[in-house]
Amino acid sequence: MLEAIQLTKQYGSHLALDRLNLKVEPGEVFCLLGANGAGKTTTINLFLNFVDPTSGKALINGVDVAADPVGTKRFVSYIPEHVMLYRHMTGLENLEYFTGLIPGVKYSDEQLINLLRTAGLPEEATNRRVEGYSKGMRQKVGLAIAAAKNAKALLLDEPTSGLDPKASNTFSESIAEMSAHGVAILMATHDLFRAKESGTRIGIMRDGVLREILRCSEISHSELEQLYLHHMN
Amino acid sequence: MFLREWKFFYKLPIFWIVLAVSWLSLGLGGWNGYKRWSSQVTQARLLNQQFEATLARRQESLSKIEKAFASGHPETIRPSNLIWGVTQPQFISANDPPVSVLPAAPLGFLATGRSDTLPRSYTSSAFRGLEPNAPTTDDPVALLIGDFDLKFVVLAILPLILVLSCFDLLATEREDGTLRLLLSQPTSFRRLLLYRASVRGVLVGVSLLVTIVALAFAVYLASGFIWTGRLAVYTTVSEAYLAFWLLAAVGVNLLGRSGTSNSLLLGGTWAIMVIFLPGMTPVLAEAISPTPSRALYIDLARAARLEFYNAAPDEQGRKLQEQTMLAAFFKRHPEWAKEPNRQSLYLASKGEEFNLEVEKITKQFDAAREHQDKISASISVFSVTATVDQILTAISGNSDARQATFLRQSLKFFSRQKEYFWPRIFRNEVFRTSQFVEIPRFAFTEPSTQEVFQPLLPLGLVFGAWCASLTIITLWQLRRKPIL
Repeated sequence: MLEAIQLTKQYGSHLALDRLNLKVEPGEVFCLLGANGAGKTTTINLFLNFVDPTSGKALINGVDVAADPVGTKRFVSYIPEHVMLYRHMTGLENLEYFTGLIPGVKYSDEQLINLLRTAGLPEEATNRRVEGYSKGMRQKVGLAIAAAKNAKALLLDEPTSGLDPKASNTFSESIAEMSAHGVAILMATHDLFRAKESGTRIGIMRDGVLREILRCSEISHSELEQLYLHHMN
Repeated sequence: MFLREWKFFYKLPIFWIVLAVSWLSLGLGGWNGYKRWSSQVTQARLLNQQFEATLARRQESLSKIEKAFASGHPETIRPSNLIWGVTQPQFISANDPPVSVLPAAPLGFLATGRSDTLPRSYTSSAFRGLEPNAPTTDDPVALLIGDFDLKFVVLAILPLILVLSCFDLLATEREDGTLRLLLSQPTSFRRLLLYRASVRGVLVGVSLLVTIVALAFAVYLASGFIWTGRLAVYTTVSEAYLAFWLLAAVGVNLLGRSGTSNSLLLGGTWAIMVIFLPGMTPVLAEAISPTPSRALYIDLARAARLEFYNAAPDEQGRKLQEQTMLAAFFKRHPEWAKEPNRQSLYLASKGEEFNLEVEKITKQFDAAREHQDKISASISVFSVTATVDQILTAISGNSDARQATFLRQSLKFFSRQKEYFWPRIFRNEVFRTSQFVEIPRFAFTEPSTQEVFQPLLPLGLVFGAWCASLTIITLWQLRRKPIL
């Protein structure tokens, strides 16, 4: 579903991503671990065509995102670290606006409220302006936006950073549910614990290079930490 | 997509500000223009009615005299009426001279031009020539704040509203990160930007369209006539001018700068185009090609009048003056040399001599002003606003060109007056009731479409060049990847 082939991004003399080869299958949660500047966000940016690759390809559902940037976004949802919504609008209005950007998709108010409820947003908050929302609540609206798209792939850029453990756990449950529905998930994170808990596979990146890929089921928390530190030093 | 952006826009406080300011300024501008146009219509009608009413009164007096003669009782006639009264053609020509009145421009409610400050009617006395009637006294408040008419709203206020509502089409989203979430949806930056801009543009553009249609309807109800073709051109040019500003806003938004930078860039452009350049144009034109002051012109014209209309101090001097002027007059018009009414011939010669002298002075001033106008027109191409200003003023019919046409036609009318009255006056003919219908009346012929639009061609090309360059720059910017 998500595939990177020799994907490279260079900013001037700085090589942000070096010949990344990666494939995330439907129902798989692939966690990218790495320090700041490792190339995690660049990978996501390339899949979203926010930047053009210097060489190589990023494919979504078999289609090169550089060739069809708008079309490929029908198959992919994205939740950034900070879900920044329109503060003057309510959660429901935000969801309505963002889902309105998807051609051919029209949800009734009831369906939208249901999406927010499923994402875990308290019902009383749906008609409240977003300016009063906590980060966790905004993240839930982001999740609802992603779910509304019925996308086959999900890109997450440090989605649990700054969330309290409970909110983080709820978020992970939602991810697991989406994965169970066959969604291919690529998650960039610093959170080793969350990566081990939610992921199917983990990739450790450093200086734009994917150093190692591990199966979550084959490694313990402490082993993952040791490996991670090993790659970082 | 458009409806969604529309729904999004009206949830923003700026929507209500844009709506309120647009409608207030359009309403005020439209009302002011209509008021001015309406007062010009009334003024023209009153002047014509006044002239016809005076003639009717004279005709009635003359009819009484004719009836008295016919009934064999001429003793009932007041002697003064026979010696110097309605039976004398010079009485009609000199005491109640015919007037030439410039009717309100059919689209004058859309734009005030420089012609509005010039005389809108002339009396055309057979002896003294063409004399401007006193211009209408301007409203002191209007003089202080300028003409807040529809053209001013189109040229200055609506672009400002567009600039204020479009400087941040997606800049805040870029700054706080919402843009990444937006662009993760199957839409593109340029689509979002263009739809957002078009929503704002449609709001302002439709408001203008509604105002123009409402005004035109009011004018049609009042006058029973509207120039639909020119109205359509005026509307198209105005909307194209607004589209120019919208395009400029899109272009600036594409630079990927912050909202503050965008507002400074757009606000600065607005200030240069709308205020600075048009304001500096007359100053620069005056510096490059100075014209003599209007006070000097008035002084010279006054001196000429004193010279010709002040009688010489003694009898001998008066006689000499009369002889000299008549000699010159007969040299120009040998056909009148044998006519008996010497007094009228002298008055006509004095009027003509004075007119010739004033014409010399006027010519100098006109030539200087014309040269300065050309320089102003050349400088104004640097401001799209000044260019469109000239186009809209000309289309509305309040341009200097229409005023010049009016003056030309008035002068022609004056010649017809002379042709009609001079033989009758100089030959001491008696004026008859039946002749009142023959007295020439002035009817203004509007300049033809070709006369109006041909001079606008270079201005239209300049405006077209502005729009084309901006479109090319914006299209080129649209091809670039958005800065996130």
